[in-house]
Amino acid sequence: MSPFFFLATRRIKNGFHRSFRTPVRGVMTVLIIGYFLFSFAAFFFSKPTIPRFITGIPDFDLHIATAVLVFVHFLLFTISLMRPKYAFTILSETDIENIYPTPRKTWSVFRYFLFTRSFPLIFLFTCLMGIYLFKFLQMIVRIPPSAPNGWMASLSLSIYLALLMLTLSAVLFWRLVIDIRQEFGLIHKYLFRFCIAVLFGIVLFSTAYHIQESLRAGRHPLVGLTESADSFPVLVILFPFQAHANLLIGHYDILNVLFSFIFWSGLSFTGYRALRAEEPRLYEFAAHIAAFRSLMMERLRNPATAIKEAQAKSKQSLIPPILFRFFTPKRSAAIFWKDGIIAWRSHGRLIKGVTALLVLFIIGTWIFTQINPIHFSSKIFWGISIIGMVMILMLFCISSILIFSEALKRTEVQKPLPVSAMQTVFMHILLWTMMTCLVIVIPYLTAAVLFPAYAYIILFTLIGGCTFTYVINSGFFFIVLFNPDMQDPLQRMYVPLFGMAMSLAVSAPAILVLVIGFLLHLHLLIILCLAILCNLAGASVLHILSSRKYKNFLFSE
Amino acid sequence: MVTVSSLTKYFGPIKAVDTLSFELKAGEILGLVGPNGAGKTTTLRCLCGILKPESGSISIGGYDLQKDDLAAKRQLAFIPETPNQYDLLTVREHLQFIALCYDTMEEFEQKKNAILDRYDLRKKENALVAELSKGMKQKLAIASALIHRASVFLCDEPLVGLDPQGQYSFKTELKNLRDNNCSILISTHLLETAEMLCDRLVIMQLGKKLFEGTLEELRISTGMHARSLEEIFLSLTNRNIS
Repeated sequence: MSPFFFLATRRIKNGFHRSFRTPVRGVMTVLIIGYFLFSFAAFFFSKPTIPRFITGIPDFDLHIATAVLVFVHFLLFTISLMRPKYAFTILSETDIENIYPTPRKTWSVFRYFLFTRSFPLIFLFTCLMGIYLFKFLQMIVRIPPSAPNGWMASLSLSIYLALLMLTLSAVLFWRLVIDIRQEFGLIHKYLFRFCIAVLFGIVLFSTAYHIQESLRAGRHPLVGLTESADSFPVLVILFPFQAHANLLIGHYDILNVLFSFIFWSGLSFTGYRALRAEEPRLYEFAAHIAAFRSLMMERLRNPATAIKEAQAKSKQSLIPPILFRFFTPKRSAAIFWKDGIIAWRSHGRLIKGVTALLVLFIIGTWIFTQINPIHFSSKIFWGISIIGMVMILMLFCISSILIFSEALKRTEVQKPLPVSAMQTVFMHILLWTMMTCLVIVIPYLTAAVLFPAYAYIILFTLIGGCTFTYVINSGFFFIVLFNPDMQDPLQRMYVPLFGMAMSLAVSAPAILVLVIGFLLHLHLLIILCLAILCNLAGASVLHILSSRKYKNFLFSE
Repeated sequence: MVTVSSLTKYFGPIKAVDTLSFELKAGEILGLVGPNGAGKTTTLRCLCGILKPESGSISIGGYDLQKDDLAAKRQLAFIPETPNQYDLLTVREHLQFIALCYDTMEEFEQKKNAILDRYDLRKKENALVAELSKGMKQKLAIASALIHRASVFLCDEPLVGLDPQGQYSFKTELKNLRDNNCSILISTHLLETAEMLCDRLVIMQLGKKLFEGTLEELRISTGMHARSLEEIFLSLTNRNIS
């Protein structure tokens, strides 16, 4: 038997076995399996939805939908290419120590990990996302009569998924090749990032210009977006993504699809060959990445290591961040203080980076509106404020998974302290809530100052967002308590899915209050107070449940 | 058994190992000692094929590691500094996996019970690695190295985390392996262990070899007679820094 096949099958078998050791995780496993089966069955056996228009957006026709989808795919492509190299989970310290010294061929080891660790999960989630996107587009886009339905629609989606997998494969192979060549100084460190930034900049500049022209002419911004997609050189840059968008809507020509298949297959194949040519460097590259990742994790767990390293380098001193220097912590506040320092050292760059980007975006928009006087309707401001808030909250709440998992690894140190389980749980959640709020407060206050006419919308979204952060983090913490081990692939899959579901469930009453309040045209202050009350009540329930679980918590369970 | 000639390894601009040469003979325990950052772990990682040296050659059991890596690796067993096994395999499955990697399943079936008993792993045979303590994980790492018929053992701080019983078993194991004509290279900070266990020593600092030979030869060359290895080591490495 192949050792790799043995490893894969035993890990899956033992992972499932471990999933049923606790009743809660057992239920989660059944729900996840049921969810996947239901999603696929519902797509293949359900009747096609009757397409209709979204009201309020003029001309949301096939052309605009295609342009939006082309841009979405380009963005997905760019984000996948710009992932930090240590984020690849193909390679681990465990493989290096257990497999690399054994007499197995380097390429066969690497290929095994490449295919078993990257593709199955990507494929599963791509399929799910594809199904939901396809269904959603069927509902909102006016699909031409020639568009396939029934089993033909399934075929169209299958072709789309195959094309998307080819695209992601090409991205993965080439990204690894470039990383390896950068690591060994064979290409310039910033050349690749510079090229991507230039491509992205061209698309961004052209799109901003066309949207501005469109707004000037009193047309919808989406019309400007469509014009940008049709203009040179954006048309050329985005052409490889045309078939993706067309297939999703169900409107395509064979030549276009054929071109895309040839293009992405070629890119995947050459990427695979180029990666294989790097065989002599693969182990060493893997060792570098794994060492870097374990150093990051060690810093996260143990601030003392980070301080020692910094002192050894004598370049920077790791003093506590300014917020934590001004108070002497006592009892439960000490946990908050300690978590704060660790979170700041591990995620401080992300927090500062996102805040700076948002502030720059707001100031840029303000300068733009000063040069080109454009009147934004309050609806657009509501939309931008809420969408921006949801995106930031999602990014930071997903990041909370790692923070909470690491915090729970320190349970053995924390449990003997004279602090109740309720206080400990509260401090863990409060800390990350405050870190997230730090990111949103500065940009939103800047926006409120620069756009005083819309300050009430911005402040409403800001305060509402802060309360939702708290309840969403409580939901994620509760789920992490049952699935703390991020090394376990199944637990790693459960946490985002159930965390999201739990957060939605607990924040549902507040969302309902907001919707009803707006429909009844209640005063904004009343709506906000009611939403805050609902969120606090939801979070309190989760705190009680989490502290009960925390008392008997065992990381290796 | 193992011949290292002019091994040089860079990490960016830093020279981690600088033209290192030494020989490990059959039936010998060689201690690789040096302060933190001396290049001990990098040397071991080059020896087991994880890192590729910039220059120099490594020969294991007569096979060149660069040219015939699979044959060379078949002679090797590596015990890493921190035990890092697959959390979702049981103890027995982990050993079985290693045996599969070396194509020695028949040998594994014959040896497994004796090895499990020797390192107190029998009771935990069906426990997941995730549930083991650090010491037990270290024992499993040692047991994994004994699964196939290796003739060269590379050990990176193997005694760290082991209880006294485990340390004793491992030391006895090493002595038995030496008696069976196996070659053992131990990288360690524990100078007492090195003094007691090793036949010869290689002292490294900042990637360079400061000394190679027996403890007696070291005493003679430094003129520090009747001194412990710890005293000579500190004197040698401090002198080199100043």
